[in-house]
Amino acid sequence: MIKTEHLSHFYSVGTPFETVAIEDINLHIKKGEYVGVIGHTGSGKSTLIAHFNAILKPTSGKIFIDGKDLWSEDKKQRIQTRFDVGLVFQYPEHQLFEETVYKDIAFGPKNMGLSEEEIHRRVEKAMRFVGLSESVLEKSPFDLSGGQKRRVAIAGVMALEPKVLILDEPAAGLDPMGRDEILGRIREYHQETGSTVLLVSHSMEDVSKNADSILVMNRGRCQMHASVPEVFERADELEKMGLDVPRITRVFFALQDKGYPVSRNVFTVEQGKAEITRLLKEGGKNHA
Amino acid sequence: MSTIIEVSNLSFSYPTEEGKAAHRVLHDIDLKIEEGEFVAILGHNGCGKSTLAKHFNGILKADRGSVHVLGMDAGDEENLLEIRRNVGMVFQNPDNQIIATVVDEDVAFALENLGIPHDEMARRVDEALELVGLSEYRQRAPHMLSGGQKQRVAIAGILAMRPKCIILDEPTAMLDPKGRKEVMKTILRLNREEHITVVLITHYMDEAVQADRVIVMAEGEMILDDTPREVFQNVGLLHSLSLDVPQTAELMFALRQEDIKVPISVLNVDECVAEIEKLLGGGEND
Repeated sequence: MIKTEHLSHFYSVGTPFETVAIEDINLHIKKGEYVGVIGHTGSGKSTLIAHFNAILKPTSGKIFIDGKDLWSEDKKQRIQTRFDVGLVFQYPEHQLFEETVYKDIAFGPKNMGLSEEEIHRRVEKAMRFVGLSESVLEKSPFDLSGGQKRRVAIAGVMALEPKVLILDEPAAGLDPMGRDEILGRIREYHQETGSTVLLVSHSMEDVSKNADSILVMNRGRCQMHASVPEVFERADELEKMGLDVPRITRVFFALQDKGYPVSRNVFTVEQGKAEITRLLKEGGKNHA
Repeated sequence: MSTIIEVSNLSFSYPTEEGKAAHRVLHDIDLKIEEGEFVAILGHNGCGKSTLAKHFNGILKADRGSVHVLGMDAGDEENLLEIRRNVGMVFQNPDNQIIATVVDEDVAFALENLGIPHDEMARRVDEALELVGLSEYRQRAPHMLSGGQKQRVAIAGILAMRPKCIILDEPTAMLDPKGRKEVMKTILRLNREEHITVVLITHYMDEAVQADRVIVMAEGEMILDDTPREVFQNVGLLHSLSLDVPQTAELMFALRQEDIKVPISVLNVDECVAEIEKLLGGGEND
């Protein structure tokens, strides 16, 4: 779905402040993959994702969306890409601007030149995905609570029905309840639509609960792109980059290091519980 | 040891539009924070924790009851300047707190307003930047810094006033893990080494477990007020308030629900590993 070849981006080229934001990124994200994008601030993750819907033009290298070269001569192709790849920025609620919630969500589909009927269908569907009730449709988005505003903003991108949905820290600043709710909605969206999802997050726990694979950015380079267990296997490297593995994973790493026959692929409390009850049962058999 | 903040019988409602019933945010809060304590306040959005904290340095004024800071009545305008010199506040969004275009000027901002002589000011700015580990950034533009660095600049701006107490309202909510660690390390250092009283409002349990005392709020009331070890035993209650529990405590809770006998007061990875070893070894558990 998304492929990059030697993708690099430098900021302030030709000035003394020239800095490398991302360098030599070679990626291949499959259709329908749910990717967690992890990296500390300044690692280049926002720069990277801004390339996927042509907000930024590479300094060098190439990007292919659905097999097509994004920066070929075909300008129409690039415009289409902005509809195919939906990007939800950090704190998207700051970008609401319309008079009513309905108009705000309908803004993208309208720009796509869709019929009123189709726009209506999409707004309704997007609202369902983010869990907004009909009663807020005619309200001003500015009268809503922070959590609801964020849902409106996310619905506005979902209404494009993009093939790829990219969310930059959609749970930032929310409390645990708000976070679980939003991430749950995104998971449902992914399962129901089968679209490709990129979730930029600082939380290894959130990523491991949701994503199929993890892409680790560090100092402008793509350091890892592999399945969740494969990435956590490299806990020491992650730590050096200022990243963490979930606590529960650490517990099981420690147990294995001490010689207990436990799995290293424990990322959630449920998995941890299952693993220990399994061990206790097996232990019981041995004694018998 | 003296009392830094004393809240008695505090109630508060935000003013509402005419004709609408006022929504009460705080109900009869009684609370004492002693000098040198590190107190974490937990609670979901809207539980009143930020509203409570804003009473600690007179940003909000009690409707009923009283708040005394260092023995001074926070309801009396006359005391506000002295209270705010001693109790500084750091907010969630680093971008909303930086005023100057150069880091050291930003740190000096409050001192300038207080009319501190130049030499003294320079000394205090140096000291404050040193304490938050940003000495080499003193000539940088704040907007070029990371979120964690910006928060540390905000903390330095308060430290320069040499306060007795710092209140931090979700200072790490918008930061990455590295920024969070930097800020937490700074907060711990200020508390442990500089003996500054710290009140930390947070959603992150791994931050709360580092405090001496954890207060849990819900619907404008204090539900729990105890050591982290005691507080995080209430896994069921914390869940019902939609709060997170450290994964290690959560695992113990889940095992106990299966009638596996493990202690519930497990806070860190090492303790958790030790308990599971006991369990699997079969020796010390019954």
